[in-house]
Amino acid sequence: MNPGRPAWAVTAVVACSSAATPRLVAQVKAAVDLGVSNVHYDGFLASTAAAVSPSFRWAGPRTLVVANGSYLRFASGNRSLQANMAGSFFSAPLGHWTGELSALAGASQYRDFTGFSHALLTGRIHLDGARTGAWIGGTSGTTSFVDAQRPVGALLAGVWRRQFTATWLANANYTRVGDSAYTDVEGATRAVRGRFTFDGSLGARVWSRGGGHGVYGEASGSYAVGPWIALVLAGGRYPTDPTRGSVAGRYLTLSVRLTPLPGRSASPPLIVSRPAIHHSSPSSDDPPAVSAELQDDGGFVIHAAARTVEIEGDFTDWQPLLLTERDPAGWVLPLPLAAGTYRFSIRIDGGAWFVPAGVTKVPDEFGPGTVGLLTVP
Amino acid sequence: MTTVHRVATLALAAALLATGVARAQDPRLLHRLDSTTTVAVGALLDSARTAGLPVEPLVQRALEGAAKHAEPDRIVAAVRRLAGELGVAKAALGHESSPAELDAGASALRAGVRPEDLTLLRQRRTQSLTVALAALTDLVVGGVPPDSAASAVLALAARARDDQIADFRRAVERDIALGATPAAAAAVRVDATLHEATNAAANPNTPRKP
Repeated sequence: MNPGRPAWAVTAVVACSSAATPRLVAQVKAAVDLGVSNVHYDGFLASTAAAVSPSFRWAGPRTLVVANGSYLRFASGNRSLQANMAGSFFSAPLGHWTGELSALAGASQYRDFTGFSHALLTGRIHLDGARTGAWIGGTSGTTSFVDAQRPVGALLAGVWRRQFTATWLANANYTRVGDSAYTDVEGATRAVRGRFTFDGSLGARVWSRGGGHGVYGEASGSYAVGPWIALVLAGGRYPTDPTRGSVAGRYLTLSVRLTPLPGRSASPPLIVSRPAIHHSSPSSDDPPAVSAELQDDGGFVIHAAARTVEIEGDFTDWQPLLLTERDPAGWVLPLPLAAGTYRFSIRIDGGAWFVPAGVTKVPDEFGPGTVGLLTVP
Repeated sequence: MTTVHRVATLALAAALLATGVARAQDPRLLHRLDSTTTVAVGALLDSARTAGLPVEPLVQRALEGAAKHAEPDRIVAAVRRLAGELGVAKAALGHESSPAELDAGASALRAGVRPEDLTLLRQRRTQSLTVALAALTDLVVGGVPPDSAASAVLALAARARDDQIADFRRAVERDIALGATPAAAAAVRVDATLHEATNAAANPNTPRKP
């Protein structure tokens, strides 16, 4: 399951491929991925996590049910859970045209205090040929975070083409989630050659109001060691998904895929087959490697495992000032800060200047980076 | 800086020196900026001083540019821009505003907050505005639309304490980091903070959940 793409988009991809492939008998496929990931959410430090990601797929003549979940345990000891289930019903073909109605529901929880859930209904019309196809549709539903419900709406359109051993897909989605809205343009491909399977996707959030911008892409390669086991290496960057409550980030995962029910689909669905990563991000409660903290007594502390920590800012006349090590990984500013707003940066062991976690970052007027903004009441 | 600009700046500096306006250059600038830039920044400091604006933020902005080896033109432009923002902040927040409030107000304006919202904030809150303005800036920088952020902070302004506003800002930041849309996070948390502020005012000794 794609961790970054809106869930209904994945369903759309599944449905597209499924609609293009007649299914005479029901097929069942189940798998579980066991892996280790290195995840780097935007605005946070990188973290490793162990992941267990089961998935299930049942395809009948006119129905498709997909379910998947993931359990992650971060290096901090925090855990997260995610589960999604989607069902699609396809109408009888009318020439090259097929109608599809699908429903998707999902929920996620990080630690024991943050939960998202969503329920979406999608209608889609497919125009399918032997090697090419297209679809257009819309999604409506709701997503909730804590006790806040927000409406979700999306317009979807895409095309696909199968050529030799590869399938290519391009789609554009306009999505509204509450007062946020964004447009994604994406392309994806899957190629199978012998025991190797390659999945790749490239996309861009070309317009956004509250959903972030940027280019993202993911790739995964798997090698089938046997009929029930495969090694999977996956990585990439994905965008923020306000519906499912995921923060943009990048990841690299190595996993073993066990497939007790391998299925026998002649044309596997075009899903970038990366292990499911629930990317509800670590909260600021996680102990980051370098962070800043303004304490109640006015003290300013940098938490960092380092040999030296220097700071420069409005309170040092922008001259590097060596901080004092109060305790292991706790570096303090040796002067009290008066009330006011201060810009500053720090550096570790004489390296580059940067802004630690836990501090507001604003654009640097004098360079391409950012500068920290600290307000002392 | 072009030759024409250098000549003009030097001429301006000479005039200022002659009239005694540039009477006291900050010694920190003399050691960190070249003479031309020092004179240009000094003129801006004098103008700010005359207008009753805090000059320390301007000095620090110039020193920041020097520390980052910025071009002289860029340093002067940054100081001039900040002086303008401090002036707008003063007009919006009132002439009795503290230097810390003006500095925080300038940051809020830079982030995209409207001057009218600063004025409303002054009208609704009797305590210092420094924390409220900082929270407003942080929300906007964090992705909350300026009008939504202003509405949230204005809603809290009359009743919430500084620590409650700071907690509100942290809660919104955490929600955003966990995937909530910035505007939704602000809307949800402002209700909870208002509820807490109201209850705390009614029952100040009621223990709160950790």
